[in-house]
Amino acid sequence: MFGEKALDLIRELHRSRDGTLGPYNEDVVRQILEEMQILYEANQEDVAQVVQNDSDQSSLTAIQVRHDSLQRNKRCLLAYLYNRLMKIRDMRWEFGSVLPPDIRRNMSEREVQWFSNYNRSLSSYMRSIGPRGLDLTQDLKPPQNVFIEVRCVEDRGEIELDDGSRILLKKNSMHFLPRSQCERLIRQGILKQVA
Amino acid sequence: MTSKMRSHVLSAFKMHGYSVRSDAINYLLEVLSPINEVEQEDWIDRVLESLQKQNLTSNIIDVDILDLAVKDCDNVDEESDQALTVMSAFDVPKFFYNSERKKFIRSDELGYSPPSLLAVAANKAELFQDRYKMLYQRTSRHKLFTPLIPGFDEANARKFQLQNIEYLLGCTAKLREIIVLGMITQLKEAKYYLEDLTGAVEMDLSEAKFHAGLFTENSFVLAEGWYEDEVFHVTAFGFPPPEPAKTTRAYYGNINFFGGPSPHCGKASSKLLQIEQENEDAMILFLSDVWLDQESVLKKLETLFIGFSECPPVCMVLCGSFCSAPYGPNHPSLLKEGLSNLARMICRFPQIHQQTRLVFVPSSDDLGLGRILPRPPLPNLITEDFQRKIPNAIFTSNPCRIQYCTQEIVVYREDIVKKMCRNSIRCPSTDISNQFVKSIIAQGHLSPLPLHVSPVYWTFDHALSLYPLPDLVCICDGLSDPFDVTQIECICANPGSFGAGDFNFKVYYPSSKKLEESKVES
Repeated sequence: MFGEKALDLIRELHRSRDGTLGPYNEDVVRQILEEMQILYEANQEDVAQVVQNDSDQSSLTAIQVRHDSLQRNKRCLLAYLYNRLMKIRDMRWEFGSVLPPDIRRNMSEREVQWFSNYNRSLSSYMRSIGPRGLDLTQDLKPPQNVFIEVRCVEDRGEIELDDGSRILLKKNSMHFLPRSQCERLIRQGILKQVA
Repeated sequence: MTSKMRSHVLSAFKMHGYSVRSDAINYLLEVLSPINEVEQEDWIDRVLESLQKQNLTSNIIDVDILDLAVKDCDNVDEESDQALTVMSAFDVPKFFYNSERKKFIRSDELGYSPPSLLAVAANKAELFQDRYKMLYQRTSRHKLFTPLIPGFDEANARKFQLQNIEYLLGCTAKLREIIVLGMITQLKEAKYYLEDLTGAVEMDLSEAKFHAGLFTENSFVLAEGWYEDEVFHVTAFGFPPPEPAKTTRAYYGNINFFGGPSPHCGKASSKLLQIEQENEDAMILFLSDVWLDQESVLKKLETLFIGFSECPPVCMVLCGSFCSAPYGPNHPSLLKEGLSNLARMICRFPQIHQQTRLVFVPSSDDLGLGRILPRPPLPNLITEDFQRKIPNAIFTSNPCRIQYCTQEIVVYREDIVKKMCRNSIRCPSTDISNQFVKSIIAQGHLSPLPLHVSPVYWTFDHALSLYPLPDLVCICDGLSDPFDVTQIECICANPGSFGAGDFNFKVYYPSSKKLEESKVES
């Protein structure tokens, strides 16, 4: 039946859990495009016939059905692509500008491109706010305290904070840091908040 | 000033979501210190830009990553230097096909250790598995094998379904019209088997029709036939359908399968394309069997140099053997002498000396580790002096890869055509060169022969792969006649033997993708 593959694609999207990104289903997308190509060509032929011969109205229904299938396929494809992009956008806010490699491998070539473009626009916008820029990805929820206590989970060497002070990230070392500084590192799993 | 700069850089990095290690920030400030403030701003943007292009695994930036990014920014102006890159077979990147994600992934991204010459036994099986997986994904994507689409004109379109051997072995009834992609093997003496990832089945070839091509043992074929009583009766043999490089790239984007410094494939670079088109006179010469110990060969080379002295070619590929016969213990000294004669001669042509890259590809008869592919370059001991006199000389492995602007060229020196004929199940009688080219393109491999006939280092098998198809494959085969065959946008050529024949060689014009046969008149 026409449009079945397209529905499969949407089902697949629906089935995947929130916040996860499945592999880009290139094969099915191509099959749908091929199906659309066939429908389009068949319609072209029939329409040309109807235009030539006004009295022959028998193929009008067929044209209508094919046209609707085309529209439906298109809508499904666009919905698939759009929803994936939205997931990828959310990941920029969640993980920061560097995606974990296993997520990145599930993205298609174009999606990787879109991600880096989005990244660029977002960061240039954030830099343009105020005299020193404002990191909008910080404090997605209102913070309770300004300073928090954290424990380091991985050895990552010395890193530098905004105010110029340096901290040494050594495994199992404890730090008392401004929340704004370490939030990103917590999200990456390098630091852990000690309650 | 420095502290202001420092916090400025830090906040710029922070907005892009990076944390910087303190040694890295010191390094960057040091790099930025000699230039004025406006340019500094510009440079920070460029560094950040190139950081985004890198495939980072963590957003903590250390000195190495930053160094790479700064160098990348530096290189923008010097890209013309990289118009010609010669890659040894040992530097070719290895890719694994991931069937769930339908993508090729670089082995170092997957965390595999670099390949070693002395591999473990499992690698021998992997060698064939990797070849199979590559061919299977290519074949299953071909329009003969894709699933049927509703509304398709079923009467006119023939569609096939690929079956696994497991499926055959599991059936007790007679199966008709079956197509299997598998490898031809001889598991038992004088009995041919078809093997794939799931099993092996005995074949009956008595009624088999062979399509064009050289069907050797250990090559992959599409076999069509019927199956009964644990024997697969083959009615027709064909090669898996090849795929133009353009189609491959449409599926996998700009991954650089070929190798080289750039992370992206050269085809995508408009700058390189422009350089390629502007240099209409650029030439690449291919010579095989350059016997440096023979007076007559050196004389002809001199004639050749005189001819090209006014318009030196971009690159000259000189293939072995560099001696006409094995000389035993005197071999190294004779070869060294031959090379120094050649060096003296080249020095008399200053334009060629300065502008032409000389690429030396050894044959299996040359000095050093011989028969196993890929063959390492000539030993340093021999080439040192030559290299000192002619800094543009590159001694590389066999096979080797050359990237000129956007074009990919593979050079392979081996008397392979006869070898393939000798080892094929049914030897064809006519049009050997066409059939040979068809086979290597369909196999996506330079040497589709059993390992005991043409040994390969198990973990370096990917260096012989021809997928995606390069623009030019230069097979330097001394024993067969020169040929020049173009199939699905891939030129395969044999320059013939320079020393043993009539001083034949080939000239390639990259801008027009034309190949010309030439020879030095006596």
